Amino acid sequence: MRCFFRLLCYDFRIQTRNRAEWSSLILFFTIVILLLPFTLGPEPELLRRLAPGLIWLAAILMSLLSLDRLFIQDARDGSLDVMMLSILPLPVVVLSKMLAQCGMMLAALFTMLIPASFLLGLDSALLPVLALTLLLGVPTLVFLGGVMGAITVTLHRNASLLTVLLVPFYIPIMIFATGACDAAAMGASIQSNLLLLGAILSLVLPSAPFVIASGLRQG
Amino acid sequence: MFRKVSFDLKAGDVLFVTGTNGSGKSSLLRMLAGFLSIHSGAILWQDKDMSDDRVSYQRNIHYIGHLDAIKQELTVHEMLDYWRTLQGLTSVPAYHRHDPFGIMSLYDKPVRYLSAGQKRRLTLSRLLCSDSLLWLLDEPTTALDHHGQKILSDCINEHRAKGGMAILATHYDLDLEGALRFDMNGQRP
Repeated sequence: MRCFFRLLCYDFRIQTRNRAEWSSLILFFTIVILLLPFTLGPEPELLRRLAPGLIWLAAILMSLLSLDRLFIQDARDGSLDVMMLSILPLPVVVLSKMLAQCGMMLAALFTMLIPASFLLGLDSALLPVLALTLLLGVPTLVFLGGVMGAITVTLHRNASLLTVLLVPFYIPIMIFATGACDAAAMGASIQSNLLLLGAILSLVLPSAPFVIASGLRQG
Repeated sequence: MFRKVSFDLKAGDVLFVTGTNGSGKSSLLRMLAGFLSIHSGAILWQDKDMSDDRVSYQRNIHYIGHLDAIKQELTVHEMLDYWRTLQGLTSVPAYHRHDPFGIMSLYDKPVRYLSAGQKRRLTLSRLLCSDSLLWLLDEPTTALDHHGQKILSDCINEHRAKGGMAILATHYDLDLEGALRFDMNGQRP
């Protein structure tokens, strides 16, 4: 247990020190949000209505872009071999890595959430709902990304395969998350959509480290 | 890739795997580390087939490959401590008392500022972070100076004296007494 927290500490440190990469991801997110109004037209009412969906779209694109950090980089610099030979069980090592990635992803998104919702004119009453859907949805995205990352690493393929594999799994999360925001906008109950997001997360969170570990061992 | 490769090691043995480029030395070492599966044949560890319980077999191994497995974001001592944590160790590390590779002088230096040789020394220090019986070293002397090579030979000899084993794929002859040799040339199907 102590080792796990120590490992988590180091994984967070590795993530937070990689400022260049995270700032480029935040920049990417911002650019998507900034450019979307130009393609959709400048009507404030339209943007206000689409805002939750657009922010989610930017979040998904950003998470796809960050996936290369999971295992592919570790395989490239050789640290995957060290992880595989560790005395700590591989799922534990994987979990620590995934949690650090999740934490950074959420931190990056939440820094940009208020400016982005301001730019798109999101209804301020919807902001907490949107934040909640991100909080429940983004860890699922990252953990699913990890599963696919582990598979592509062992297949020695590049990240484009990863994206193709992932998109079908991302669609339900996107539907439930934006569904919750839509329901909130219309004054309906958001409970069912949030419960579904939570259910997916509680399924993925405990099982993904084991799936990833066995995926990595297939190499 | 290759066939009819057979050898056995006892406690204290060291084996040089030699062969031309592309003869399969690295693949052989990766197979021995359990990273690559073997098509036919078996790797026996203490008379048990390692593929029956690969995870517990891999706990006996230190593998050092071509890549340094270094995280650019950490400092030297963080990197060492990270490796020790992966090995489930939280006690005071041995390299504080015993630092043959001379990396303690770089203690707080970010790893990305190290030269290739210094990175190699840091990577080799991983061997001393925890005890493993079998060392698999793939071209361990790359970028290492003469002094570093001498230190590596001493470390391997010390490891052997404690009953450890080592398998090295290398073109450079380290000064190791009574080392066994295995030539990969001519093992092609």
